[in-house]
Amino acid sequence: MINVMVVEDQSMPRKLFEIMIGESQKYHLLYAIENASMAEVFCMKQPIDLILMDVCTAYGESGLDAAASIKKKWPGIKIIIVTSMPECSFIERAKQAGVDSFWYKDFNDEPILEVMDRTMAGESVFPEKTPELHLGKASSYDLTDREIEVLRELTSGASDKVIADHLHLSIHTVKHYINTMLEKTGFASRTELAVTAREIGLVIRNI
Amino acid sequence: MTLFCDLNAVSCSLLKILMLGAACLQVTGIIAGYLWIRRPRHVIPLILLFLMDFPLLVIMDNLAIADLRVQNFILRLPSLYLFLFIFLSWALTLVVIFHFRNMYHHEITPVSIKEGLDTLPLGICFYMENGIPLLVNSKMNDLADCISLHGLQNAKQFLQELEVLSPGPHPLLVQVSSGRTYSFDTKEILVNKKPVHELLAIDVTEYQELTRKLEAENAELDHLNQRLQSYNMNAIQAQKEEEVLAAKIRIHDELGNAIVTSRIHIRHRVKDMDWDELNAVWKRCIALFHNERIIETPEHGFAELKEAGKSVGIEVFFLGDLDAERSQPVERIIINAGRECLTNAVRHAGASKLFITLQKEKEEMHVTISNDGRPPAAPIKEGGGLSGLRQRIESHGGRMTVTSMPQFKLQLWLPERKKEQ
Repeated sequence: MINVMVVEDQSMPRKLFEIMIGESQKYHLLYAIENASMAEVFCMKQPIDLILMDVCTAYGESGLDAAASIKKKWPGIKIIIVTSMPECSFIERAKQAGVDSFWYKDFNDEPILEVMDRTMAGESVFPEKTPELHLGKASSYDLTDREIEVLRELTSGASDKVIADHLHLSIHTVKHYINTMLEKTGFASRTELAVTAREIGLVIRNI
Repeated sequence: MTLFCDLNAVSCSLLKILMLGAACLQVTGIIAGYLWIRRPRHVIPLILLFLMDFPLLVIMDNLAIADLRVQNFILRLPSLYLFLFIFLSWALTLVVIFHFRNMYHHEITPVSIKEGLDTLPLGICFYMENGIPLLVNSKMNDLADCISLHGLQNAKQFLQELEVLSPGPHPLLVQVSSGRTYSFDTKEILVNKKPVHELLAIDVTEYQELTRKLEAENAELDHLNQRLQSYNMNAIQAQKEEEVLAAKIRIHDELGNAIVTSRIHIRHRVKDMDWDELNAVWKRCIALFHNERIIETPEHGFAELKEAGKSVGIEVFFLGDLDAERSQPVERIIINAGRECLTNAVRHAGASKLFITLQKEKEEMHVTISNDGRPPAAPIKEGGGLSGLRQRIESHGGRMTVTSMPQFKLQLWLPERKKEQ
């Protein structure tokens, strides 16, 4: 029996996982928690084999950070990052953290159980790319990496100067990126741009 | 004292008379000077006084030369008396000179009045009905020269020029080339029952500057006020929307939960189907639609910490003001601290119990964490976990202390709201 821990703060997907794992003959649900920063403690003494780790968990704790930390201490534990947010940096960060697989809750045809099976078999299952979202009249694929970085900072409501300092760019560059994005998306204001970007989950700060 | 008797009798007596005359002149001079300072206008009597000396001198000389009796009398006058007389007159001169000086300094004369006016920082001008100035202090003179080509030749004319330069008729405000602004004001007073006009010039530059600043700040306050009002209205709206959203999320979760559970139960014909559980789930949903209160599972975060403790064999106790309100960020930090202490208690202390005490102190939450395990062998060096925790606490505006004697104890104080840096 493969011992699984689910780290998920939204009750519905958590319930889904619980039920699915409960039904399966292969997997046994050991723990279901909401706060990713607590996951480490459970790994200390409990025989956990697999973790389904959400990214945005309770109290704003990051599942990616927790996954990286667990992988360092217990590389034998398999981790599948599970998220509903199409935030474009997650896949890259997950790879850097050393997780085994990555699964989108909403944008995937493949059911989670299959991903779990493949992962336990030793495979690394990652989506090819982040899902395509629509931002105004533009597609999320139309935006460059730098633009998305600026957009992510923009969602904090900070001024151009603060964004420039944060990203080590000049204030002109920042303004240029924002204007380009406004042109591409056709949005009237940067507020609209920032709010929509956050709403659709294209960019998420502090996670 | 036989100094003079080497000369012949006539010249001797002449000499004595001359010296007498000189002394008299001196005394006259002193008296005249004194009178002149007192009443500078009365020059003529002083001149007469001086002139009187000369005929006197001439008469005496003639007498001396002509009349033997007078000659003899004067010859017999001991030189001592003469010298004494001259000495005394000099002494008197010196005394009177010093007296004059003191008088000059201690008496109020028209000069001292002018001097006094000149030391004042404001400009003063007293003038007659027709504008001719009576008394002008140096400050006013300087100002007038700065402002007008004619200076202060006629006060009325000067006033007219001021009216042209000033933005308003009252008060008259004029800015001079040095950048200072002066306020001019006139007043009519009576001097010896005659009307005299007084013109004052006061430096109001700082006052103007402060007034301007005050107006600017008031305008900004108004602006902020408006923004605050619109923010207020928006805030109420936003709060309403937040509440609606929260309700939507709950309904979504509960209904979704109910549907999924039901589907699984029905489709897969779960063995030992728990109808009671399914029933309960649907009851919750219906209650939610009826907007009835649902008892929420409290303190998920703390419950999870307890469960984590259980998983590593440590019983976690929460003590103190657990009912006190705490914000999300504060609770998050407390849970982080609990986790750190839990892992440390497992690794280093071999503890079986962890105590987390909450105390609400005024504006801060005071948290104390200790365990029942071995005390630390050496003073604690803050490793990655503790220093990360400290950083988080301090950026929230709180503080943390770690004691290793006699037992390990972690204490932190957290303000309710994150303090802006």
